[in-house]
Amino acid sequence: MGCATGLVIGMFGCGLLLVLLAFISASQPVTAEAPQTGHPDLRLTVQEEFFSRFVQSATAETIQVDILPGNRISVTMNTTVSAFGQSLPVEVVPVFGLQAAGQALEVRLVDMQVNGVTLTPELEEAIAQNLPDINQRANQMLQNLSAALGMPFVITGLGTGESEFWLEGRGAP
Amino acid sequence: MKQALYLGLLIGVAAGLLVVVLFLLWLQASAPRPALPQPAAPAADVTLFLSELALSRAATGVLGQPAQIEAGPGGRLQISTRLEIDGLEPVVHLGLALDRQENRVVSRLLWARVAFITLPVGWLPAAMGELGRLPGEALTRQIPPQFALAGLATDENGLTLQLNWQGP
Repeated sequence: MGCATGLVIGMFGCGLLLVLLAFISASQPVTAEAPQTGHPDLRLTVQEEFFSRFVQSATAETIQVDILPGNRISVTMNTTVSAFGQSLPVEVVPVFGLQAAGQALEVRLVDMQVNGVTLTPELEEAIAQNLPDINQRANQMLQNLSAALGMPFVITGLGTGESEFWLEGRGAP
Repeated sequence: MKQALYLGLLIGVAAGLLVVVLFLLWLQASAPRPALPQPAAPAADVTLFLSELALSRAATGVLGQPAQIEAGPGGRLQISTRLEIDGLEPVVHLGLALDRQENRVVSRLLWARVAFITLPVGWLPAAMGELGRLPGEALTRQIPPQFALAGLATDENGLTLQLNWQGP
């Protein structure tokens, strides 16, 4: 009789004690801050073939994008220029450099060639008038990504490979 | 007589503790943790990796309260947040499985844990099963309409989404 009573009391008491301990330990605060690791919070990798199709779809010109080492992207465009009363086909190859600048991506014109001939700085300046628009579009995409994630991020790395370019970032406080 | 009672109480407490511990171990063992296959896939047009911190901050924004996400291999995620249960708000850990179904991320609840008490999904109310579908729906909403989901993978560092552009 005593044993049976003790068994019932023991089970009931232990169960209550464990449930109480569970709720006490479940009251620990939750934070959205995970332990820092060597991995970035965000990494975006874009393939060259897709990027070329994507840029091509935005223009009526024939465009080929090549990702180059050293954070550079060349864009080969076949277009025509009017000279001597005739339309002459030309191949324009601007080379853009990518650089991280805090929470923004900076695209700058590194080189420009037309049919293998290097242009003068003045002509490059005239052709590069679209760079602010390119920078704005690129950074708008990053801002849209940041808004979708609900987290601003700082670009911590940027690079190009054989056929892709990548961008890494860490969550900004 | 008193000695018998005290001895009975002592044996009863020990037996009771053993029974409760064995019951908790049985619950822990019965909580399913299926490992989803991770098939190798060619490089997608765009690959996006999100760390546990990025996922945690996104979940905090969606839920409107602090949430922490831990990722594991095989499409597994654990979300820790406070849930209101009968007037109390303990920290609840939800074990989820992520999978790709065509162009959607689908999540389902596998188990729920409060402190060290783990309950498999079959023991949980239907409302919690609905809660388990929310992360998949939230991730699916983030996929731009011009892109199709080509792959999904998780590891101990975070979540990787592979997207293919649907343009010309």
